[in-house]
Amino acid sequence: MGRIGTAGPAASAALTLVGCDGPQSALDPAGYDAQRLADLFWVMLVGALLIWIGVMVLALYAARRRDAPEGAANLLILGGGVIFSVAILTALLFYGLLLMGQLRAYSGAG
Amino acid sequence: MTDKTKVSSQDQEELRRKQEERLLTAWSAPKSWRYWSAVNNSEVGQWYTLTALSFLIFAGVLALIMRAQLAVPDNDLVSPDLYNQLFTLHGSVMMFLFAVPILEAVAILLLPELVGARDLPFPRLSAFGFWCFLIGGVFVCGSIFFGAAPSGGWFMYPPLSSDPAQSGIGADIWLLGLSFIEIASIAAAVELIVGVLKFRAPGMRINLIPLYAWYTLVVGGMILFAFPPLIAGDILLEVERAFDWPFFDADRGGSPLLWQHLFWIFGHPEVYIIFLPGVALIAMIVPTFAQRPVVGYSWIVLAAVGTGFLSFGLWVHHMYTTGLPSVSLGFFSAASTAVAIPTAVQIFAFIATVMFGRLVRSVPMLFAAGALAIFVLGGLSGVMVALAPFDWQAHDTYFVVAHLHYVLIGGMLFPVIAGVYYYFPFVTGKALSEKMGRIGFWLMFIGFNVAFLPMHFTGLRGMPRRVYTYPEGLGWDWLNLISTLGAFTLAAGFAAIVIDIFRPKGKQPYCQRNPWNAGTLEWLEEIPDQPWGVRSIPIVQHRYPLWDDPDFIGKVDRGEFYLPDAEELRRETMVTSVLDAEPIQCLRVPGPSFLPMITAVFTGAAFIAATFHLYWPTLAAGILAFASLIFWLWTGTAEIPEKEEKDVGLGLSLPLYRSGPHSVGWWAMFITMLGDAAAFASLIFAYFFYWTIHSDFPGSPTGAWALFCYGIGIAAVLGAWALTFASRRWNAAGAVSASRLAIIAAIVLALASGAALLAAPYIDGLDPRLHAYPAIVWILVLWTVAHIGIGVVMLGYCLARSLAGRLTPRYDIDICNVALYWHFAAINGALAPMLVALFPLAV
Repeated sequence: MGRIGTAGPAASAALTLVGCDGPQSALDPAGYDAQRLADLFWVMLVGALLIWIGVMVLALYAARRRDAPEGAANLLILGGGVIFSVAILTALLFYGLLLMGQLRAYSGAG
Repeated sequence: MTDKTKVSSQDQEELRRKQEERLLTAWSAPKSWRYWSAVNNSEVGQWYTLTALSFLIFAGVLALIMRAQLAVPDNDLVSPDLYNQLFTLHGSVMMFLFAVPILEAVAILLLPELVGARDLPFPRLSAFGFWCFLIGGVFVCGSIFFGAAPSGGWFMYPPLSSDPAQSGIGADIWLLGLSFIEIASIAAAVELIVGVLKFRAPGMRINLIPLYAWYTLVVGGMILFAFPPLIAGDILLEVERAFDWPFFDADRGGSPLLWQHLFWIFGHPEVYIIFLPGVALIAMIVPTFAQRPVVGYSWIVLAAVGTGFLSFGLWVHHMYTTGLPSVSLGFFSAASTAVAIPTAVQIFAFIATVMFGRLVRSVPMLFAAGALAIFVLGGLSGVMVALAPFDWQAHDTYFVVAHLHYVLIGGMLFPVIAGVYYYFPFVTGKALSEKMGRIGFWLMFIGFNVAFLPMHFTGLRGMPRRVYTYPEGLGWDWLNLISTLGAFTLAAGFAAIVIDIFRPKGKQPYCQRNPWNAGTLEWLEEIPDQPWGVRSIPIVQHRYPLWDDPDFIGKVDRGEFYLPDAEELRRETMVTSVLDAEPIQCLRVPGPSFLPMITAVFTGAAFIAATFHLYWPTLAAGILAFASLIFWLWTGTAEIPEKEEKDVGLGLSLPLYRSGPHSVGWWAMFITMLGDAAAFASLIFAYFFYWTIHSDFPGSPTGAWALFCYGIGIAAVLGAWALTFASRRWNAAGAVSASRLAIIAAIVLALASGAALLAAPYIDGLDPRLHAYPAIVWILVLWTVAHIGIGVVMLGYCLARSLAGRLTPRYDIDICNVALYWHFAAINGALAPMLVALFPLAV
C-alpha cells in the first residue's frame, strides 16, 4: 500500500483488497502533482459512493412506498435534482479548478 | 329493442365490416417476394430493429475476442493488427450501427402508434434509410473478414488515419461506409421530427405529447446538428487521403486538432443521442408499472431539452490533454458537470413517479432498476473525469473504458432490453418469458459489474486503452482475468435474452390487449396486430387517454373518430398543426415500392466503389442512383388528388393537397436544410480555426480578377434566388409562362454563378495540395458550387413538372420546396464567397 490521500482513509481501507500499488498506479503517487490528484480522487470516490448509495436507498424506498402524498413530488425533484446536485457540483468544480490552477502554476504550464 | 334499432345496428355492423375490408386492402403488407417492397413503419421498423440487434451481437463477439486476448498477460491469441481492427470495429459498430440506429428503429416502430397516426410522413424515406443502413453496415462489418477493417480507433485521429500507408483501406471504409449510414440517420431524424411535429392525433397539444415523442424530437434535433460536423470532417479527411489536400497536416498549415474538434462536436452530443432515447423508453415504462401518470412532466421535458442544448457545449472534455488554455478547460469542466443537473432531474422524477404510484414488479422494471444502478455510477465517474485535473490522470486509461461502458450500458442497453420486454407484445402479440428475462437480467447485471467495475482500478493502476497485450507484474493481471470472466457472464445473460426473443412461439397464446394496462395510445393496437395501426384516428385530450376514458379503445374500434374508412383504398392519415394539433390535411402516404431499395443499392454501390478509388464505377452507380431517385420523386411525390377535399368523419372535411408551410414536405426540406447549414457552419469553423492557430493564415490576399469573379458569382446566385422566388409567386398567381421563363433564367444565372466561383480561386493560382489555406478555400467554393448545382437540378425538375402538368398554380408543392431550398442556397452562395474573397483582405 502506497501513500494515500488524507481524505479517504476509510474508503482506502476498504479498497486495500484491490490494492493501489504498482509501478504505473495513479493511487501510488510519487510526486507532488500525483499526490494532489490522488487526494482529489479519494474525495470524489467517497462522495460518489455516498451519492450512489443514497440514490439506491431512495429508489428501494420508492419501490416499497405506495401512494405517497403528491405534494412531495416537486420537493423531491427540485431538492434532489436541482438544489442538491447544483450545490455538490459547484463545490466540486471549485475544488477542481483551484487545483488545476495550482498544478499548472507549479509545473510552469498554462 | 324495436325492429328499427335492430336493423340499424345490423347496418352499422355491416358498414364497419366493409370499412375494415377497405382499410385492410389499403394497408396490408405485400405478399411473398414483394414483401421486401414494404414501406410501412411496422415492417421497416421491425427490419431495422432486427438488423441493429444483429450488429450488436456482431460487435459483442468482437469484444469477447478482445477480452479473451486480455485475459492473461503476454497473450498471443490475436495479432496486434487484428486487435486494432477489433477495438476500432467494436466501437464504431456499437456507436454507428447499433446505438443510434436501434433507437431510430424503435422510434420508427412506435412513433406513429404513439401519437395516433397510421404511418410516418415519408414511409419510403424510412425504407430508403433502412436499406442504406443494411448495405453500409454489412460493408463496414464485413471488412474484418478480409483483414481490411479500420484500425485507427473509433475516433480516427489523424495523422494516423490521414496517412494511407499506415491506415490502409480500412480508414476509407470507415469514412465512406459510415458517412453513407450517417446520411441515412439524418434522413430518419428528419422523418421523426416531422412525425412528432405534424402527425399527432387531433387535440394532442404540445403539453399532451407522450414523453417518448418529446425525447424523439430532442434527439432528432440533436442528430440534425451533431452529425453534419462529422460529415464535414469526414469529407475533409477523405479528401486529404484521396487527393492529398493537407487539412490535418501540420507541416502544410493544417492541424490534426481540427479533426478532434469536428469529431467531438459530433461525438459528445452523440452520447446523449444514445442516452436520451433510452430514458425515453424508461419514461414510458415507469408510469405504466407505477400505474399512475408521470410526476413532473414539465420538468422532464425541460430537462430533456436542456440536456440537448448543453450537450453541444461539452466536446472539449475529450481533449483535456491536448494542451488547451486553462480558461477553455475551466469552461468545459463547468459545462460538463452542469449536464449532470438535468440528468438528475429526470432520474428523480422517475423515482418520484414510482414513489407516488403502486409499483407492479415486472421484467421491464427490473431492467429499468438495473439501468438506474449502473447509469448513476457511470454518471458519477463522469463527473470525476469532467474535472480536468483528474482527467489528466485517467485519460486514455481503462478508467475511461469503465466509465463509458457504465454510461452506455446503463443508459442505453439496459433500457433497450427493458423496452424489448415491454413492447414485445406490441410488436408480435406474444409475451416474452418472465423467467428467461429474470435469468438474463441477473446474469447481465452481475456479469456487467464483474467485468467493468475492476476496470476502474485497472485504469488507475495505469493500464492504457487499446493495448493488445501487457506484461506481467504491473498489477493488471488478475483484474483483467476477472473482467474477462465478467464479460462472458454478461454475454451469457444477453444470450438468454436473444434466445427468449427468437424461440418459436407458435403454440403460445396471444396475450390480451393492452397487456400491461398502460395509458398511452400505442396500446390501442389490436392483438394480433392489424396493418392499419389505429382503427380510427382519435381525438386526444389527456396524456394517458386509455386511463382517462375506459371506453376509449371501444370508441376507436367502432370507428367513432376520424378516418374510419379508406373509401378510395388509399393509405391515409391526418396532418395537424404544430402547437395545437388542429387537423389541417388528410395526407395520402405512399404504399409499397422497390424504388427505395433500388436507390439505396445504387447509392451504396457509389460509396463502396469510391472506397476503392474506382471512380468510373462510382460515377456510373451515382448516375443510376440519381436516375432512380428522380424516377421515385416523379412518380411518388406531390401527387395531384382526384378531388379537393375529403370527408374524414365527425363532420370534418379536409384538403387532400397542401403546399408551403402547411405541407409535410416543406417541413422536411426546412429541417434538412438546417442540418445542411450545420455542415456548412462546420467548414466555416474550420476556416476560422486555422486562422486562430496559424499566424500565416490566410495566405496571400485575393487578387483583383478573383475578386471580380467572386463578385459575379455572388450577384448571379442572388439573381437566381430572386428569380426562383419570383417564379413561385408568378406560378401561384397563375402566370405560368412567366414562372417557367423565370426558372430558365434562374438556371442560367445559377450556372454562371457556379462557373464564376470556380474560376476565382483558379485565377488566384490556389493549389489545394500545397497548403491548408488554398485547400479550405477550395472546399468552401466546391461546397457552394455543389449546392448551386443541386439547386439547378431542382429548378430543372420544377420546369419539367410544370410542362408535364404536374406542377400547377393550385398544386405547387415542388416549386414551394425548391424556393425554400434556394433561400438556404443563396445564404450559402453569398456567405462563402464573401468570406474567402474578403477575409484575406481584412486581416
